[in-house]
Amino acid sequence: MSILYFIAIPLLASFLTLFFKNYLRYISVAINAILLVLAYFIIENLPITENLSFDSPLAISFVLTKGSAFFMTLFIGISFLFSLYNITQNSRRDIFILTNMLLIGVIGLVLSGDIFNIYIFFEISSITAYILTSLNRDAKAYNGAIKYMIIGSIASIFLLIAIITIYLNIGTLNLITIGERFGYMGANTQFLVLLSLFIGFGIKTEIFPLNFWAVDIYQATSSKINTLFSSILSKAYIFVFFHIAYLWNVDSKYLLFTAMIGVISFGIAEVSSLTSKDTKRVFAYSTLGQLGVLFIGFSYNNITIMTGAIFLVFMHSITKLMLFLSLDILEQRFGQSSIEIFKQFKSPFLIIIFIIGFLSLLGLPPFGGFIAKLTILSGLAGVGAYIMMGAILVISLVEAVYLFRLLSYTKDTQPKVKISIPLLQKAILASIAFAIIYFGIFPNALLDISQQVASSIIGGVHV
Amino acid sequence: MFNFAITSLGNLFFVLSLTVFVSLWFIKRDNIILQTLLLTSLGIIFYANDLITLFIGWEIMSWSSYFIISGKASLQTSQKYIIFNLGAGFALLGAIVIIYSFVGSFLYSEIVFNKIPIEFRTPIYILLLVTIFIKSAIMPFHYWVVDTYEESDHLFSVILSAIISKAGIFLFIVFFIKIIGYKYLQSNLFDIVAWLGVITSIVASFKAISQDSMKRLLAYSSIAQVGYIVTILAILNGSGLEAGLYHTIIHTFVKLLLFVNIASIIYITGKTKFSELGGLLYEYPALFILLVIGIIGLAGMPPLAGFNSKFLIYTTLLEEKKALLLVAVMFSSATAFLYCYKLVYGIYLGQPTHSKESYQKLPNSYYIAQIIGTLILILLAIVPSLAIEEFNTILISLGFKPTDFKSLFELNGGFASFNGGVIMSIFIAIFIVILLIAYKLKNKTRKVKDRLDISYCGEIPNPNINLHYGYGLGKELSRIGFIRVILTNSSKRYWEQIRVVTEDSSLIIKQFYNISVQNIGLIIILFFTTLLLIGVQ
Repeated sequence: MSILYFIAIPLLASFLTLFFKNYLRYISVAINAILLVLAYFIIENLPITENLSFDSPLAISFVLTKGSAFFMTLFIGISFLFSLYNITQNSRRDIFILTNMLLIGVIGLVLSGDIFNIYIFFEISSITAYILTSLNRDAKAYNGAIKYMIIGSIASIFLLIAIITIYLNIGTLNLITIGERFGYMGANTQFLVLLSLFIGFGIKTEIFPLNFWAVDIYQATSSKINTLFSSILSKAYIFVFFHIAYLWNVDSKYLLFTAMIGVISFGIAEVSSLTSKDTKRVFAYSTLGQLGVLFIGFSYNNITIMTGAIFLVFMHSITKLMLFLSLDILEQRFGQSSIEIFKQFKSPFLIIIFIIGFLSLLGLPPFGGFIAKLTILSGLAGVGAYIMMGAILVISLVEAVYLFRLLSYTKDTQPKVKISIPLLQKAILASIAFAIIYFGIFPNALLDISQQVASSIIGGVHV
Repeated sequence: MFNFAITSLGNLFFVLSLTVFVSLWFIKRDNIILQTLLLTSLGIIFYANDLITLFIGWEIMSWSSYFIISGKASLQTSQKYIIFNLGAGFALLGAIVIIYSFVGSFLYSEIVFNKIPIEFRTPIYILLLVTIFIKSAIMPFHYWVVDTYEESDHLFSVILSAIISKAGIFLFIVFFIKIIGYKYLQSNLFDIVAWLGVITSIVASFKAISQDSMKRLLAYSSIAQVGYIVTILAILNGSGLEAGLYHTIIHTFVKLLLFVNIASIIYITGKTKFSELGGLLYEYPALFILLVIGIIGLAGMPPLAGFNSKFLIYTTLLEEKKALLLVAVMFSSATAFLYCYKLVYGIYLGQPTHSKESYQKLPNSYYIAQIIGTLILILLAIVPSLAIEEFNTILISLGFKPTDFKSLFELNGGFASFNGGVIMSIFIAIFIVILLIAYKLKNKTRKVKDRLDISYCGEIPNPNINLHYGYGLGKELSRIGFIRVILTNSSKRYWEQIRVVTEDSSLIIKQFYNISVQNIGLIIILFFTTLLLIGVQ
């Protein structure tokens, strides 16, 4: 079976749905389900490399390793749950097409074996994200979309600078070949390439100080769409960025730099969130913070830390999916998203969902986030990075301040508005919550997978 | 991942918790599910056999108790509670992870402390001590305690004071004795710990006297008592451990008794302050007697069991020749008498300052909890070595020499011992004699009909003067220089300062996320250029 199906099927489906407008939502969910099944069967014979017959430098190659397979499956799974959630709502139809397009973009990103393809899918996913931002069709949304587009194009320019420099100096765009010949470039050229890559991907992975645009975008769009940004898009960019870094065997100083940036990003985001007055902004800051932790986790060339980071990718993706979807329910009911809505809603179910989500974000047992944090911290202590470990612990405490404040708000004695949630959405949220608890108590299977993924990322493409 | 082991130490602490929970079981209250979760988490902590299981129990304890507290307490108080306790948890996690990075195992039995380099030992001790200090409310980490005890549900304060503060003590014993072992500890650091404990108890005792709220008084008293336990454990020997464990048991049941007693008064009258109460002796003599038993236990006076643990604490300090520490502990104990007096006088004695019409009828279940506490205090007073027998198995399992005792009635404190049974019988005999005399004299006393029917330094008081002595008790103390320093200062300002600084920096940093798109572009280009200039060789 060809891995091209994972791009071709949703692409074809997106065109087909134009002719079956009434069945669009069902087709979309079905496509996601089919992709999940395909992913299940293809995982058995890894790794797979496929080249489309062009000559170099335009050879299009796709590589499915354990690393990219994990991320691809995660994205398909989240997209499946997301579409399923939208099926019952009176969602606009374009949301399904755009989700499909986004899925094509991120799957292409993680599968691409050459840097020019990465650029193409980088653009596809970015453009989809711009449109998704403007989906609300009000002034705020357009403002956000234009902002996103301008900053996004700056990111593309830097990525393009890196690609051009590489091609001029080495004459190839294949990731592995670049890795083999990376030393041929002069020290300054190497530095320019890595720096441009860092700026290009840093903007997209929402890392300080390149993330000042991100919170506004989260606020401009509806909570639902934020799920896609937080759980899928940023994770794909992070994977590609570090996948490239390990393939090219970059200098350890560079990785130390990204780790430092990660911890600063974590701290700045969590402190900013303290006085935030809007739930979407709070969750956005929290996402920025967790992405900072992921940056730390991916930056150490160490199997334990990387395992924890992969575990965190999974936990954070599903947790943020659950939280943003719950927030979406509240936002639709109240028509706004200020933190005051936490004082006004009455729904024991949603409160339990928020409690589980927040405690998992904080890394408290017995929830999944704890295992991720524990693995990362013990890995950091293992390599002697005690200051980094301490920083993560202290900053987590800041995170606790605002998350527990939101939980305290639910105990407020204001007159409450009862929230009714459709059964399917309830089931989706409950199953994610169950998964968070399950992987917190029985983490071994997922830890095992995470370890294989981690060794695949650290060890290069053929492992 | 989960490893459990049934140990005598775990048994002791779990049975203590279980007894308190069972005593409160008959009283109708909310949050049964969360309280069961809390008890489960305590079980996980006490029976854990590896560090991760311990940590899991610890954090579940923190957040489950938070959800119980936040139901009643104000936003600020519950925030304070969870931040301090999560801070404790994260410090514990830091220590665990550092230990793991050298030892390579989380199992208690596989942790060989020799493998940890010397320069990493002190940070580990400090992280663990921060955890213990926060949980057991040693200054300056006690900031969360008093407000939490005051504002949480009256019956949940019992659990907070009687059990949850003991989790810190348990952690002290498990880490410093069981896992690390006394021989690795530096005595310098633990001298400081012992002094912190006793200073905490002195300061908290004086603070307790000056309180007008009953629950705040008991909260400070709880801080003071747990301070002794930390002091005596920091002596780092077998008899210190024994005295600490004994005081743990006594304090658990004394606080069970006193907090439930206060909860009964609040249930009956709806009042929480001494200045609003007084003269309840005639209506509720049974509650009065229970309270008196409680404060005799609290003050550590014979014939009740409170004396046993104080006796062991004093003899241990004497044996170790820690004279200054002994004086400080005694001073603090003496101070405890004053606030004990305030409890009796403020609530039960003096003239009533309130109307009795709005009184609620007290359910019998409130008495059950207090009677359980009383019975245990009396039982341990008569047969003090009943507890020592249990401690001996703990001492042996931790590698100490067990204490010998001739009979169960005798408490052996090294170079001194006493017989609890004899003391109790003498006391009862004298008590009966006094009771008889009082009964004889009863007819000669004059009963005061009106609360203003007294002469007061030659003045006739008017109805607006609060004649209730408990009202002003403690005010005169502030004339003494060092006590005034204690009473007027508080760690509050430092913690508040930290909060204000963090929030202010949040407001400043947040501005970056509101800037316009051209400035963001500018920042990105500037960042790129700066890095380029730094990095190019």
